[in-house]
Amino acid sequence: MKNKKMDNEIDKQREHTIEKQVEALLFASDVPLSAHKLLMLTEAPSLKYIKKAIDSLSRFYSEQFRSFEIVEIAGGFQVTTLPEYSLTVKKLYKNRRKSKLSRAALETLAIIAYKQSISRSGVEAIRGVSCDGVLSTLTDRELITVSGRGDGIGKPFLYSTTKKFLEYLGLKNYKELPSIEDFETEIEALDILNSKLKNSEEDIMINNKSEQAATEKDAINNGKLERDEIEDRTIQDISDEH
Amino acid sequence: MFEQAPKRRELGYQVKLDHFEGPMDLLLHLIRRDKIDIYDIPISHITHEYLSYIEIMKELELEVAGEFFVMAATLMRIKVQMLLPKRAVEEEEEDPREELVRNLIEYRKFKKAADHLAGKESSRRDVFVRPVPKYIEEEDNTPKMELSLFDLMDAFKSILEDLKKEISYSVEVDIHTVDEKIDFIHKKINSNSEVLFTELFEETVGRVEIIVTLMAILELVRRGFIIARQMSDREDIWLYRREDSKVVEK
Repeated sequence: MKNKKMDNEIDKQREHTIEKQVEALLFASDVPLSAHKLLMLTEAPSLKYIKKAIDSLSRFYSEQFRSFEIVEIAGGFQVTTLPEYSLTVKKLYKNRRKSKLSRAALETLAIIAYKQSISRSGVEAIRGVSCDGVLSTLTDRELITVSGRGDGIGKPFLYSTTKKFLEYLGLKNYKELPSIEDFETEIEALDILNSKLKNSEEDIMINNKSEQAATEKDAINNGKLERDEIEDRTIQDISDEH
Repeated sequence: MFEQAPKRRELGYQVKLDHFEGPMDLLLHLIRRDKIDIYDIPISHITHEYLSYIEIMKELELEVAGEFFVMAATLMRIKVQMLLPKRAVEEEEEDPREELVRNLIEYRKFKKAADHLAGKESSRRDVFVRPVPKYIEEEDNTPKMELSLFDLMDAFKSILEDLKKEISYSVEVDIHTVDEKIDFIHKKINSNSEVLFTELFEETVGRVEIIVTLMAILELVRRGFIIARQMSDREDIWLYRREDSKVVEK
């Protein structure tokens, strides 16, 4: 009985130590650390302990309203500041941040991310423009890499996205990206909505016209006096013209 | 006498057209603007609009990329084909617009995907992580070039040539099999997830074992179990387990 209690005590202490070790590593690391890596670097006897430590730290940070959290990115864990402090921290890094990716770069990156192992000409066939410059920008930023050679003429380089790609976008893994067909569904839904809007716009126009006609008619029918006025006016107009 | 008014280009400014990256963007823009059904594009209307944009671009002295003219030619070809009387029904004729529409739809998907990535990029830029400390070298020693079977064979050839130069007096007993070596490499890679090519030869004794090891590596690469990578020519070759290479399964 007493022994068991002591075992428990020791286990608690060990968990505590592991938790601190995990925290120190996550605090100091510039890249996301995988659970396996954390297992290797700490005294944790199994992955279960790592998972427990991360859960416990996460809970602690949120309960204490800290300004950072542990997020799962690119198959690992990383400490990041919370989005609500973005303005504050941005001031610190003012003028020192890399620019956002250009539209062309994003499109190229999307194609490579969804196709994996695609040649330059493959990307160009989809985008309909030359992609040389964009590919080297993306390679320089280490978001893509040459992952092999194709079978075609001259064995062209094939490009794939890197782990840095996941890191850069804050993605847990590739499964976190919606499937490419989801985008098509979204576009089609939008198209249907647009054409409905267009139709209803036309309907409104037609309705407006008939309403207008109806009011005019009403006006005409509304009493002799008004009709006389209209006639007067018409006569007036005609005589003006002469 | 031959003096001419300086061309605007020579005045030292030229705007680059970023709004429409390419002809496909322009077409999609027109389709959206005129609320056109992409599956039933009124080709002469769109060709007319497309060409008028190119005119404007020229007028503004914008550099019109060659791709825009290629697309213009495609549009005009389709337009002509649409005008030609249809042949007898004996063969199902493809709508001349079909390929263009297919390409536009494909491209449209990736534009949406790019929007999605842009959103992710934006939100990621709102949070901050620790940068690499100044006194620590940035870690980038992951080899990037994937070697083909032939590249590997080249590497093996030079190893074998070196071997020939060594004269061995020892008597070799052929106790090594390729299957055995495959198991060995498997174990090595499974425990480390990557292994240096030369590491596999650390304990090899004699010519036969080296050749058997090479054959085992080739076989594993051929079967797609492992990939060989290298930073650049003449650098160390690393062997990786295949599942480490990322594939989007959708």
